[in-house]
Amino acid sequence: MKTRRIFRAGWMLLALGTLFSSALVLAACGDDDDDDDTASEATAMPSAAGATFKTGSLEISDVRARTSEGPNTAVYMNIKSTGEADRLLSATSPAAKEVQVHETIVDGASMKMQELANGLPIPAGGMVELKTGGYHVMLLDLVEPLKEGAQVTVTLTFEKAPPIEIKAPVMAISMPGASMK
Amino acid sequence: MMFHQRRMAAALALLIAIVALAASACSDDARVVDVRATELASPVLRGSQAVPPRDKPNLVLTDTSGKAYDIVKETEGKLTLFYIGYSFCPDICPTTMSDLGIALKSLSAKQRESLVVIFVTADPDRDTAAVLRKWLDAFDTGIVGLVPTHQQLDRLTAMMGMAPTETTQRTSSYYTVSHAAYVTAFDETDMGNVVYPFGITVADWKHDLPLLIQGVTS
Repeated sequence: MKTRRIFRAGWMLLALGTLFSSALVLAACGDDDDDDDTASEATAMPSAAGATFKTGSLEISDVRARTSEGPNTAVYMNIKSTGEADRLLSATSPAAKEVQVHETIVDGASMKMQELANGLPIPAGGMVELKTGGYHVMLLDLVEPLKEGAQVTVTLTFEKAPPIEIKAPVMAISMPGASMK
Repeated sequence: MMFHQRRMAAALALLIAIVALAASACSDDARVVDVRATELASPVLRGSQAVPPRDKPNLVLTDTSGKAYDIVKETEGKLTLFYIGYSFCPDICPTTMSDLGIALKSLSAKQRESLVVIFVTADPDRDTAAVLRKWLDAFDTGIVGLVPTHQQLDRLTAMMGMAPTETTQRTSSYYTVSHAAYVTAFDETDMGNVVYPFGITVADWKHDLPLLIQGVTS
């Protein structure tokens, strides 16, 4: 089973590698047809996200929440430490009955999502990206659907930095392209 | 076995060929790259090859209107995109369906008619027909939603060569479900030759859908 998993992971890496390298090479060509696509989708990209929030030695930027189609949604952001290591322990929001810090794991050909029981570690002087296919703050049982253009308030609790209230603009979120990495 | 050492070597050769081809085409526009690739019979699709190719699952499930849906019969002669996920998921499932929905809207009416998108829920306990229909409608009202029994779900994943779906954190109503991370494209002869793994973007879908509709399989 272990060998199979290695093959599987290798296969996926190859697949992603092909996509990524082709996109990279094509992007390096300058003006081509692909640029039109990228431009028209740029509005839905995370780069349109809002303000930077600071608490203790942490800087929280690129905060955005996904429009909700179902009972739940995800809030994404970058958390950067300019000093010591910290840990995102939990979160609350008036917009949801329950909020959990989650991790999506894409393991070769399958994926699973789980709550981070011990919170999300933020390395000293480093940055953690919460994004599609990785970490997210999950809003469960939304009080009402989150529509594009709305704003959702989330309070983050850390191990060391004081709790902070952040405002996440609600937007459609697509899979980031290779150029976003 | 879906993933094979020899296939990996072939895939590596392919990767080098694609990158070389893309690099050699720098002076031309992207359209020219596509034409050349077709002429050389090199892969033009941004999806990956399914190894081995899969047969379209010959199963009858229940659709969101409560009617029996014979997957092979209902999709006969059409390009069929097939995904298993669940509406409770806030991350990859809605991203996949939303991106696909955006790409569907870029197709002509004729192209759209020659394509069926099927979403099977991996979470039939919470995804009732009504819940699933409402969720799918947010992306595209034409997406077929199927609600299997747990037994049918196990048969389906086995037929597709996928790991069985697995439920975790059952202690709370906020449990999660593991499932395959890719969309399978079945051609009009019911063969699933191409898969779309995690990481596929709207631009990739917009690039590949018209080609898949034309019958391009690599």
